[in-house]
Amino acid sequence: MGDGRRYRKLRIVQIIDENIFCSREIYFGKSFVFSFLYFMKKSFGTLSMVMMVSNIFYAFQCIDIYEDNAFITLHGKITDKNNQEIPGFDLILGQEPKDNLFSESQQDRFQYDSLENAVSRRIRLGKTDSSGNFKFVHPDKKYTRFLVYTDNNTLFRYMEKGTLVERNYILFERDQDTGQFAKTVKNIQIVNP
Amino acid sequence: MKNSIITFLLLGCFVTQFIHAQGMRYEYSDRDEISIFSLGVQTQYAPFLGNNFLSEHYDHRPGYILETRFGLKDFVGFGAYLGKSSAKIKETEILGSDFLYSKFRDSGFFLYYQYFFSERFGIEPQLGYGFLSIKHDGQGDSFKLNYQNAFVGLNGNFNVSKKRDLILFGGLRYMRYFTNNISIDNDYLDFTRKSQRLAVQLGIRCEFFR
Repeated sequence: MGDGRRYRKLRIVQIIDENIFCSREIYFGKSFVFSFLYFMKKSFGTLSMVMMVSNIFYAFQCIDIYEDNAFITLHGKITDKNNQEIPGFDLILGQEPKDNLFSESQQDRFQYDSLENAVSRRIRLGKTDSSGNFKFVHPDKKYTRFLVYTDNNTLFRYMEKGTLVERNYILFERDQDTGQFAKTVKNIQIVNP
Repeated sequence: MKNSIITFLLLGCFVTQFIHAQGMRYEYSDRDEISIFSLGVQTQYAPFLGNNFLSEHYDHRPGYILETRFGLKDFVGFGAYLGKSSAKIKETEILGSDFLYSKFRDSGFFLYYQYFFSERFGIEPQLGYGFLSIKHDGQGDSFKLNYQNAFVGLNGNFNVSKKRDLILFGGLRYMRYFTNNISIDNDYLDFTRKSQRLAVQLGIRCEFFR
């Protein structure tokens, strides 16, 4: 495959990747410019035509990330090994880095290396109350998973989809059936204080 | 919501009665009625008050309002407005870290009554209902919050010319914000759904008579 053709194919993928999570206003502008340039440069070549059509198609398919007028709530209750509540426990709320949205491996997203990235996407700090409960509120985002973790690599043990997991973060994501974040409180045990 | 609308309508009836009781003659001006149409622009600084989401999460900046008015009868008129302003987000407790700035879009309508107590000076009480849309530009998309508001205002008018076709005005507007649209954890319901705001306004408008 020639470099030119490879470049064009990569460019299509890149444009779609860059813009699938975009605002409609920006994307309509970009879509028009890219389409127009390719259209003119290639003098009505087949690939540029396909690209123009795909650009316009994705402009209309652009996805809304936020749900207007809606906030999600992330609940949890943290206990120690002896199931004693831990009040005043420092926590960090973070969100999945956008860079990992298209990661092929599910596991890669939340290994500690990824969590290091998540620290840079830190949203805010929080604490457990006198009963060991924590609660974070955030604008409703449809395609983001949220992480709760600590600065000192605390290992948490909790049930997730019927499986007991041990991780250095607590994962909050939408239920695939209901499309909602779980409203029940997660019971989380700290493994290494 | 229902209570607010009922209160607003009752206040409207009350004010209308009050206005008609005044008598509409005007002794200081060449004109004895309100203009049939006017266009105006004004700047406003309108911080939110109290301990609530809108007052604590936004660092509000001055904005502007475009306004049009239609004289109804004598010195009573109906107005509509569109306003724009922006705010820096200063607190991430509820909004998170996706947004740095937000755009405020105000729109609404109001009834007003003009009373001139000298050749050039007058006052103007107002009663209105409006809508606020707050747009937060985030990661490739925007997050919007919508509120309604009822307000009362008092403007001072200064006639630049005796014909009353160019008026400088300024005043205060007190607004109560509320919404039932926002869904959030019960602990935050009152905190996010209600607020109040005091607007200081200054502007100029052109008035057209028959």
